[in-house]
Amino acid sequence: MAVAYGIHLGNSSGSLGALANGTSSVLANDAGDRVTPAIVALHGSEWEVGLPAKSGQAASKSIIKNNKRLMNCDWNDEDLNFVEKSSSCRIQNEEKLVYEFETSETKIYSSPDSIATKIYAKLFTIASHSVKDEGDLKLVLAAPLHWSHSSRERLVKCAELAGFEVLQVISEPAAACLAYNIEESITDINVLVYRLGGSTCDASIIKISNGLISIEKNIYRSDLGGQWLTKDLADFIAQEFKQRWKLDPQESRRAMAKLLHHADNCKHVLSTLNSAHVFIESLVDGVDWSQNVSRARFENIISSKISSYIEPVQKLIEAYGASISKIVLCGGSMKIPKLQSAIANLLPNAEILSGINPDEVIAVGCAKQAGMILDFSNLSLTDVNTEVEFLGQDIYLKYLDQTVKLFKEGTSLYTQFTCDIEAPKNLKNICFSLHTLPEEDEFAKEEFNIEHLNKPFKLKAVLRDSNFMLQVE
Amino acid sequence: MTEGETFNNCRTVAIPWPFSKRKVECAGAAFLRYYNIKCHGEDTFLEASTSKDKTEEVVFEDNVEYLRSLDPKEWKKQDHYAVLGMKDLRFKASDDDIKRAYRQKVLKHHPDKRKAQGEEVRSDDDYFTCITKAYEILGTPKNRRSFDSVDPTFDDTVPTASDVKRDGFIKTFSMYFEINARWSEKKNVPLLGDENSSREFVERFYAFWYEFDSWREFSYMDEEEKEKGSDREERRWIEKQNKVARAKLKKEEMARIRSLVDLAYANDPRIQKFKQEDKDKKLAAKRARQDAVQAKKAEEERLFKEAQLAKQKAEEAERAKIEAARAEREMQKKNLRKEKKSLRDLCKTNNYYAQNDDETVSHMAAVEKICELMKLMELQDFIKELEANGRSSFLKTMKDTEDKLEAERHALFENKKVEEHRTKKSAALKAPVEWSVEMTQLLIKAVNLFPAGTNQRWEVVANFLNQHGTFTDERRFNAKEVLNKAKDLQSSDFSKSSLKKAANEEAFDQFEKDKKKVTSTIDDNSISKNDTSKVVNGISPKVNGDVKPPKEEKSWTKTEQELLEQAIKTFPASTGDRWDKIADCIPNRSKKDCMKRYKELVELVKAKKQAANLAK
Repeated sequence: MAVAYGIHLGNSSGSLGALANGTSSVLANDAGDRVTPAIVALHGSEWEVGLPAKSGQAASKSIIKNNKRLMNCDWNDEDLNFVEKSSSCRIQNEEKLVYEFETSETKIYSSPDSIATKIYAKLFTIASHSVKDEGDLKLVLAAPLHWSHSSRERLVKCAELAGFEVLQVISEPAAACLAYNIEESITDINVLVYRLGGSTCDASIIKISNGLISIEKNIYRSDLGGQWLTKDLADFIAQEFKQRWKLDPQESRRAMAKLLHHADNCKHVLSTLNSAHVFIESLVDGVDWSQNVSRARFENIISSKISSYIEPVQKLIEAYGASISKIVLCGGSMKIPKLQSAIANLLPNAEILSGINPDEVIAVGCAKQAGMILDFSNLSLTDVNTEVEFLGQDIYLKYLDQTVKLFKEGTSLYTQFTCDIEAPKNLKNICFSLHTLPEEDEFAKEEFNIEHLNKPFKLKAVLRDSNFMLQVE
Repeated sequence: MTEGETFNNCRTVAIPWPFSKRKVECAGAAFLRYYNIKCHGEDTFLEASTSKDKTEEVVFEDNVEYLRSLDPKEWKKQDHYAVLGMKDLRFKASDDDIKRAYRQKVLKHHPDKRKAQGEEVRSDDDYFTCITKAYEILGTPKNRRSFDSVDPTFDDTVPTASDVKRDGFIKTFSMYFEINARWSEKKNVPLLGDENSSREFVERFYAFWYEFDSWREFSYMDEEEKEKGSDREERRWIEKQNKVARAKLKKEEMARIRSLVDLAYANDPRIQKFKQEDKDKKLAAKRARQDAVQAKKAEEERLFKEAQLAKQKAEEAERAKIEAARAEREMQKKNLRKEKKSLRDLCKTNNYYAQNDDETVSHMAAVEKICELMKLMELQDFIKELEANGRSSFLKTMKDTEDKLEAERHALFENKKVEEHRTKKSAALKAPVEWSVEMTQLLIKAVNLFPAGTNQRWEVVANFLNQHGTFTDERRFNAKEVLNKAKDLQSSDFSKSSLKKAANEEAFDQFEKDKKKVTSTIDDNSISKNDTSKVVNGISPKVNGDVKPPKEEKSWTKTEQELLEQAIKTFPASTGDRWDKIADCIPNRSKKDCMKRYKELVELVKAKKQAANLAK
């Protein structure tokens, strides 16, 4: 069976999920990490993508971060400023957005699209190294909910330039649900998907009925994200350092970049371990720094921010009203135990799903979707969501002296219903009457000749456009 | 189940109310199923699945005659697909197909089996070897590729011009491109399309085919096998030969594809159409540009002509005007002369309205004056008046003229006076400002303040002086004066200057004062921060590093700092009430302040030293 891939490329990192032989996995990059930083750097004339770009931040002059924000066609000035601030290169905004790099001889220009293509190409090499598969690498991408159709087209174009064959683009919350197979639940449930990434945050409430996923409510915030927590931690370490050595690392850009990098690592370690050791060689003026940060200390540092980080969820729950039975956490920042428990406390009755690494959830979901869509070779889906018809009222079926609920309200089209029907052996004809309520009068009546059928026989009902089909076998 | 029964068993029931609609994410198995049915209908889905099943049941033909005719030694010349019974499937056969075909053949044609059926089998050249060989080739992807590359059924030809003429472009070439597409390294090979294909499509098609990357290779055709070589050298030589042969074939292959694409491109009616369109567009653009240029030129010419015409007209008008003015002036002059003459005549005839000779002379002079002063109109009026009133009016006019002349003379005199006054004043202003001692000092200060190299230095200095000096009148310095003075100061004998004298005197006073100070206190100006802290370190070792620097309510000034240092020195650690005494030395500071400051200093010095040590 062919391998299907799923990519979730965020502002700060991207991950690559694969589905082979029915099991999904996340592919590790050449450094052994399952998540590749979405950072691109230009070194002389050589492009670096991922970890080398990230670790070379302190030294390099031309780095691009948060490129995804500009991949959205309807970016605003705030996004532009944000990207320009976090990246260390100039951005020109004349008729088209371009990054401007100054090398020793010339200026190099590069568009957000080509940067995204570079990141995809990096993921492509990871994918192509992992399996010996000669065919095209088939892929499903995830895009944020608020993106327009043209932004998604751009994303697809970039991925295709990188070598992938893009099957479909699905929305991030939907992908998160797919990762945990939530949509397979029999009963209708509401799910909260909370994604807290590096610099953005999405909280959505999803309703799942009959395996169909529909998004009820969504809040998008571009001012919440893990990198602010990292900044707090870095500030804390800087403060400690200053107290000890009377030297201020905040005065130097390089020292601060180094500090942020280590604080980031420390934050990651603290998500799994109880304490982390920070050792920074030659932070300022050749002075080293070594410190132990405990998880409690880190939680203390971020405690003031927790309330603002769960505020979108609070708002959403209040606005929605109905009960929520499952919570899906995604995005790298949701690895922080304190945040997880804060969300869990908000909804004590809901089940938190965190079996898959939060930063890989969406990629895994995409891979699963890719696996499913491979079975339907002739489908072409360009939209993220579409309208589906649902049954407006219940339908009950009465025969002999029995009552069966055939379809309930909200059933989607083409749903099948089968049941075995016991009938006396000598019965020639059977009459089915259909009602909207068991005690109300029938709205239709059908009679079947069942003389030649084996008893008990099977009744099949298929819902169709504005009618349904009854069949006895 | 027959058709009728199906009909009987199926009923469609209409639902009498509308369906509600909701937006749903396009993800998940349930949605895909829904969407598939919606797009293609349930039946097509079922059909597709059944047709899939059908392909799995491909029947492999079994031609025993053919198999028997094979010679195992000539395996290289056999058609492996035919051996496995997949003559028609060929390169389209999947790996799975090949495997199954091979299994079937083995089951049927294995020598043991045939022996059991009573057939005579020669073990040395049995055709079964051909079957295993065929699977050996087709079963491994690499060997299969090399065999596929030289597939004997493949048509290597390129269509000729006459073919194109006979069958039409699309029909001829779509077939050729289709069969050649199988060599492409990349998948999704774009095909020729039809007459109405879009430009983008056609361009993509040719871009792809001109960059065609073929996987076709010719190792199967190798003349000699590498393994046949007896030693390394020979094997190498064989390898080299093969490589050359392969490269040549590959080149031919590339040339073949290239010529195919070239031919297609040359004959493609779509390309010709596009080219024509381009040409037309270019031509239209060119024409438009030319038209625009011409129109512009014409417009410019017209404007130029108009401008010239207007200029000419204006010049003519000007000339006429000047002429008219001149004529007018001439006319007036003539009239004036005439009037003057008539006046003189009139006066003469009336004997200058004089009563005696003296008067005659004065009146004659007056007449001349009147003639000079009066204008044409006045003259005419005067003549009329004279004729009417005679002497009285003459006298009156004479007097007026006299007055006028007098007034004029007076005015002239006044003017001169004013002018004289002014020149006097300005001369006074121009006189240089006196350089007082104070001013000189100010100048020196300014010169030091604005060192050489300052932009427009002397203007700035002069401004400075004007602003800061005290002046009795409006006289101010200018740059030149200041510069001169400065040069003067520089060159002049300094010992004679009063400034120097004053400075000397002051210096002496200062010296005396200093002397007194030194004797009274044990002042030492050279105490540095480091010194103090060193001493301090020795006396109080109990200060630990993590005391937070105290919140500074009031920052320490330099003098306070110096006083503190001095006090610390004066009262060593052994003194009782040390800090009380120290605090007494510094006004405005409490004991607590002093102690805090001291601790802070100690910490700072310590940290710096440690950092310095580490850096080493």
